[in-house]
Amino acid sequence: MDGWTYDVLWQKAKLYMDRALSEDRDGPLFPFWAALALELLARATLAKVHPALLAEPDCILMAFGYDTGEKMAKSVMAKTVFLRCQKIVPDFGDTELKTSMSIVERRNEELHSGTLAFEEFPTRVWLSSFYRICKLLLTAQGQSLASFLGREEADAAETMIAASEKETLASVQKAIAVKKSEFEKLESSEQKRKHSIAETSSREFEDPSKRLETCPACGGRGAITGERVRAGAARLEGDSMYQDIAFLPTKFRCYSCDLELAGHAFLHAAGLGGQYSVTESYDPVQYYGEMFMENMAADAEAMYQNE
Amino acid sequence: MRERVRFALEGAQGLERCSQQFRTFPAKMQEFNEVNLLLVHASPESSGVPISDRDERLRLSIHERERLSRQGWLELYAPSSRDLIELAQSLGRPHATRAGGSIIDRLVPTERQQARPGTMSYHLGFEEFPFHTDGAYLRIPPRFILLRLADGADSLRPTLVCPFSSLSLSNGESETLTRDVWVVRGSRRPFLSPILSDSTVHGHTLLRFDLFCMKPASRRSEQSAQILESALKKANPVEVIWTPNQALVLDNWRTLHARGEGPLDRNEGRILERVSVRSGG
Repeated sequence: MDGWTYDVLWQKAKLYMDRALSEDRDGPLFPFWAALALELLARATLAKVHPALLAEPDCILMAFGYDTGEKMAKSVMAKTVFLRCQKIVPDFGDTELKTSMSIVERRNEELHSGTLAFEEFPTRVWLSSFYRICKLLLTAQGQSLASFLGREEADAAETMIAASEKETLASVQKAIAVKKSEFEKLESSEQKRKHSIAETSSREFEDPSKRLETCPACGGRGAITGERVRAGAARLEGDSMYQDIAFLPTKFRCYSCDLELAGHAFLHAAGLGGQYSVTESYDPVQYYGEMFMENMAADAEAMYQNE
Repeated sequence: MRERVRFALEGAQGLERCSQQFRTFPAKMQEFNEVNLLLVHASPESSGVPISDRDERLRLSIHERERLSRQGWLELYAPSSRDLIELAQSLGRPHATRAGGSIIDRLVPTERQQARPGTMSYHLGFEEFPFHTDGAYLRIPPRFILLRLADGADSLRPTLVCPFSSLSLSNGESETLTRDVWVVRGSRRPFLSPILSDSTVHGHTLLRFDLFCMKPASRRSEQSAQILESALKKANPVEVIWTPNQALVLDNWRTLHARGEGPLDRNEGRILERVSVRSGG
């Protein structure tokens, strides 16, 4: 299935971006072509790993070059594409997924309804996020903004991304400064009491992705939570099974001064953006029991579909 | 397997030379083809035996292979069409350029009216042909092109050879040639490709250029045509003057070639044999 190979998707993504860039930046066709280019770029990212990631389950064989008699190769939906990118592309988190989907949904609205979905869609609303997402997808493919957009536009895109990061940094710094100032106005005894409560509250807070961190505003105890990126191999140590799960930090909450940051970009700007691992432990019987049950469920489903 | 058996029968000298380079008997055909290169054919002058009469198949020597790899083209002695095919086989898989056609194409200058649509002769007749790569309309163009002046033919028209590496291009210009997208027609379905592609064949940068089957896919892409055409105008191509028994090997993924100027009244005597070779064993 030629249409799912990396090269053709990559070249088409570039062509659609060329079409976008040759349109008036304030007009509806610039975001329209850019939206189409974004989806192709995401599909190319999956194809780079393997074209089978683009195939509907009943077309998997076609992705491996087998003629199944099907006339049309059915591709997975855009949402599935971006969900898969979330697992494959480093730093592609919930925020990026939401932004990508909002662009794709607008494209659907444009194509499938009477609404002029891109008519009131100024570049200030979407373009820097769009370029940032493109950069993540491109990096995962071993490409660059320059190879996608051309040198001049890539320079402009980098400037926009940097400005957006600067904006995020300024807003994070402001939030930290406000909380810090509020906390410093408290009596020393009150500060100690809040720090003490924070130690207990943060310990009691339960989440599989929880990681305790020092608050950048008040120095008290806060907790980071994140999106699961990947799981390492399970290992048996003594009587227990252990597994390291890697997370992308997406939320921080301080239990002392109530500073809250949401979105990986904001945590990154606060110096809390590095991926981290949480080690989960399991009882071996429970671990393999669950796997066994999952396998049985999968087998039962497969048998059902075969009938 | 037939080749492998032949290898075993090459004789002690060949085996000894092979064993210096490869400590074990090659397990894979790919490796075997590399070994083949060590079985150097002697030049006719030194051996005194016409190549076509020898048992050995004609192959590139390591020295010749290195030269081809370094400069992107190579002139060789090939006294027969069979030798041309054997050389082609030593480089990869020779293939017909048309379904059901012969492995060897015979290229004869043809008037526009008599030429097949889609060919350069259809557009240019007896005129010079501009620089191009062969099989640009294929998703993966032939890796090597072998040309030879046919028996009994003669030509006052040279073939011009221009390795891509000899063009004076800045990094930015090469980047543009890699980025800009072109529509390629001529095969079953049109497809997109840049002039310089690093994503078509893993591990290779592939040059594709033929203005008769390619056009810029967008206005932005027109600049890559200007870059290449301007560089070709300034280029100093190698002029290959055709003589009997002479063959030319072109690395078609990184070398352009063209048909040079010549007197029109001598066109009919110019017959070149061409073999296209796919990469790999």
